[in-house]
Amino acid sequence: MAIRRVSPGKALVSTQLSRRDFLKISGSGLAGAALLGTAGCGVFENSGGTGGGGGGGNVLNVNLATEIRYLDSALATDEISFGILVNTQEGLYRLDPDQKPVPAAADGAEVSDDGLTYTFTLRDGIEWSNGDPVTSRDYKYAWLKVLNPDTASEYSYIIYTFVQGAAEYNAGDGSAGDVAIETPDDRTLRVTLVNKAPYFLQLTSFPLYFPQQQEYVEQQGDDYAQDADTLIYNGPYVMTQGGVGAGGTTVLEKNDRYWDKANVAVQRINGRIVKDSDTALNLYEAGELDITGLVGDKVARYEDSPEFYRRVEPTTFYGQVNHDVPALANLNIRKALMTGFDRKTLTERVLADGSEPAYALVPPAITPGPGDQTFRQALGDLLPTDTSGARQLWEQGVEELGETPRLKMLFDDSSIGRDIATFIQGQYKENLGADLEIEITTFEAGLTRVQERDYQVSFVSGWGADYNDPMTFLDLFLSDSPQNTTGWSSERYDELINGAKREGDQERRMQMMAEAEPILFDEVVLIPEYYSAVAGLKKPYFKGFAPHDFGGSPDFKYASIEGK
Amino acid sequence: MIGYTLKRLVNACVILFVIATATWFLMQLLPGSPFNDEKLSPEARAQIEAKYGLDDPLLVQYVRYIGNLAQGDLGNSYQYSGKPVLEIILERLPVSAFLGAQAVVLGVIGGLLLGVIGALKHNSLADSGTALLAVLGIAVPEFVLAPLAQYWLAFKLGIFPPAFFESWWHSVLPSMVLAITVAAVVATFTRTEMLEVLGQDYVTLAKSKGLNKVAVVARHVLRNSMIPLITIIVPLTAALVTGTLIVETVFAIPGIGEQFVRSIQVNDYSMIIGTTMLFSVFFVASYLIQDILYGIIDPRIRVVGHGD
Repeated sequence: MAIRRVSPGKALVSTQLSRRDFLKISGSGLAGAALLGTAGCGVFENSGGTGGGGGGGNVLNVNLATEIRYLDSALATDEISFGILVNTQEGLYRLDPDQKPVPAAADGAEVSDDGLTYTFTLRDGIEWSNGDPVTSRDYKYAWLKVLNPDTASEYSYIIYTFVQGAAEYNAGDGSAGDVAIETPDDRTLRVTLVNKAPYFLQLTSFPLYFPQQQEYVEQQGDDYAQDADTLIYNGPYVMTQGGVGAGGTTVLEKNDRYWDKANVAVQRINGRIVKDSDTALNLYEAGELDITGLVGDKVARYEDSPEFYRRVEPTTFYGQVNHDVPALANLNIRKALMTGFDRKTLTERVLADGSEPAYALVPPAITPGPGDQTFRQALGDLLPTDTSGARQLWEQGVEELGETPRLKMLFDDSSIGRDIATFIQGQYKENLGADLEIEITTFEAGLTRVQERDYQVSFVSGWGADYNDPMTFLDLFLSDSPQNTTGWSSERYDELINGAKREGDQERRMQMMAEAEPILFDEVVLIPEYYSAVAGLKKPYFKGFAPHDFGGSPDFKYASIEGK
Repeated sequence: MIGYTLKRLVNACVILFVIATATWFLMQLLPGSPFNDEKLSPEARAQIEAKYGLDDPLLVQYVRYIGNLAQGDLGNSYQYSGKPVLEIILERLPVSAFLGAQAVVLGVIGGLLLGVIGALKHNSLADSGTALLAVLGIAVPEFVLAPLAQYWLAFKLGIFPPAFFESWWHSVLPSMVLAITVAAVVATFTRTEMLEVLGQDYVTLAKSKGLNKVAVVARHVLRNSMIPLITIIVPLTAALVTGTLIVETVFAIPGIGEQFVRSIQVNDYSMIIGTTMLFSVFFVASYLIQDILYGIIDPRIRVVGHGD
């Protein structure tokens, strides 16, 4: 905006900067600075509570990487919230460092002969952090809260899939009274399941199954679980600082009322939030973080360090095929797409983070299987591991269709998503002579499109196991599963999987699932890519690092600091 | 003067209303939804949308939104279990505001110095030096400056803490990084304006009256060069307060800038609108202040303003 300066006449008059003017100006300048200073005081982290760092020797500094979204166990959906919950609350069972469920708030469970009714006995003397006893009613209240349709809990399926009467209540067709959870007395909880579920004990360690005390929750009203002061805790740690969406440090301190506090070694955990991975790595090297994740090319760089750790998770990334698309109705085209890119190169060059090539759906990290083997060991690879036969399949498919199909692949907009997209596109060109288009979208938009069947082949997402059993992957493709957005269904597959759900004998149900999984690849329902791995660096004095593949992770109850 | 100010105020309110409406409509066009777990069954999704009123007809949602906004209710965040957006903003705004304000102070002082030196030592090596610094300051992007500054000055040399916001000293390096752009712009403006003013008759007169150089600069030249600076300082401040995204991410500072981008990425409708309205209020307010300042400094603007 053009502006006219003060005219020369005016300037000549006001040449004298008197002493008073000078004092006025510098006075207001100083006042401004002082104001800034005092206003600033309230802004800094240490200017009030216990602050961020420090705490002496028995402290772990970890990076949460993003703000906590939920502290209400009935509503939580994300990793970070689960991670805080598993350390501050406790379910009937807890996963040990080997991912096995061990009695926690319960000291045992009896299972009925038909495998459907579980009777849990709560441990004597367990208390909330406010001194009140933890009772079986606290578990019933919390589970019903998860199922209540008004709560609108995103993870409600983790309970209603298993407990009798729960699905109807959640859908609004039944009442809370019809849900098969009973509390004959304060220390006993009895649950009846819809189907046999050998992994049910493990499920009770999942944060959605944690207890809540009805009186406390109702007293807090809308403020419940917004921050450290509006929660009570029955786990190894209590939260003394932090809250939902809070940007500062989240502090966990050892819970004096925890029944097993004798076995909790680390006194305090400082949860910082560092979103930039380079900053996090630098902070780790400077000793301000005791553990950090590694992504991208950093993994290869630090692989040989003694502080390096890596785990292949029970998570599979795969492309989903929309069977309603005419071109994809052709089996040869689908088979060509399934075998047309080299997974070894994908994992070794493009990802280079320890992820492993996937030639099936159920990942190797899922331990139960037929006989003594894991499921993956027993079944092996379900598609060819090399690309040699792909071109022929493609050409055959094109001949059968009468024209070359124009196909689009949907990918998410993360940098690794784009890298994988470019790689696969290049591979299809090289191995099939086919030109497939890439469509990039945000993760959220991609999920919506897949749900609305507005896609052809979608590589947007993968699937992480909810519990340690092949069923968590295999029931995704039942014809009535809400997660089955492929438009494919098979009577035989439904028969086998539903049968396995009802089957009590472990070996027989494994056999049924073993017969079902190959069907997904004979008919090319999905195009597996890789089983993902996480990698990171951990200080040598940080012992007992117990990440969990299911539910909240990591579990600091088992951690200790030695030799610092 | 009062009439002029009132007119500007009414203008401001109208602009804010238009922005609120436009933002709301643009957000309806955003693909995806705030609730995106693939594990979400259609029934669960329906329950959640009912809970948040997302299943009401658009017009109903719009009217409810405008009504709430007028009462200062910015709604609840979708990603932080219904925490009020206003609360989140109020928690984070002081942090970003402090960083921004400090950056403006540092930047203006630094820029003024650079500009004055450049103008007074016109066409010398010092002038070229300051001009080069100014160009670099504007051209080099913050996502290069911030990590570089952090690596060298914090991690390597240990002069500043590398991250977090635990004390005033933690804020100095991030503010310095932000101040570089401010200083560069201020320096360029100051230098250009001063050169013009230095050539004016009244300056020659002052010099011929025997005033020494410092007095000339302080009393005449600087004051007259400051007016154009009003034009840029005010929106620069607003942009700084809000544009601290890179700095906040690199230095792990819990401010409002990084929260804004995150909320767009996850479709947190209320948070997006709340933050956009906040920024809009800043911008509109700063232009309002600027117009009033001009009205005070230069009466001709007031007179001309009255005419339309």
